[in-house]
Amino acid sequence: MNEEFRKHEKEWVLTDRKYSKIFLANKDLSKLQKEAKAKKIEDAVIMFVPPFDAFIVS
Amino acid sequence: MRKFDFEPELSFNPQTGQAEYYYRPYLFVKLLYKRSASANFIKALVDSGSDRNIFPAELAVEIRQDYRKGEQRKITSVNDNVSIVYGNRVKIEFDGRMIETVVYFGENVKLPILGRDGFFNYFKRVSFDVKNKSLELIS
Repeated sequence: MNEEFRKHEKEWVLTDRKYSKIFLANKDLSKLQKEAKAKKIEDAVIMFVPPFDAFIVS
Repeated sequence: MRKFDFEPELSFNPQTGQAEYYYRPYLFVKLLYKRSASANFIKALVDSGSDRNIFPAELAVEIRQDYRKGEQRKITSVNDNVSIVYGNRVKIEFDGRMIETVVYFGENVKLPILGRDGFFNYFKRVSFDVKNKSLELIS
């Protein structure tokens, strides 16, 4: 996983399946979607970067 | 049967003061509604503790789903955080497979979740192998 992810805690990122590159990042998912559409990025991965210091529970 | 490796995520270990990887069961999915589909794959947590599929509302807007017309329900975590979601019928595509199901979209939802009723119930068995960090979906 690219070390760049450290800078994007609790943000939405657009990355590749191997997490080797971050194409876009934004705290607002709709803004990230607009940027991705403008740049015609398709078939990448949209993911939320969970907080690094917390467990995820249901 | 399809097997999927857990995905790594950065985690801070307070005991060592070091960053490390924590592995969680995720699938990469797309949502489809009528002629619209997600442009990119969505990383969704496979969560046996979740009753339903829960996704951020922005992902419904992208596929032109007027999600607020759907069935309004409350969701709560075990720690009492309550918010409103709307259930809508969509298709979920992943790994070359398509299922038609209901996804509940919410404006305060961050992490997309695939839950028991709406995802797990489409399979004969969903098996988590935590030691080997993998997930099996058995049809």
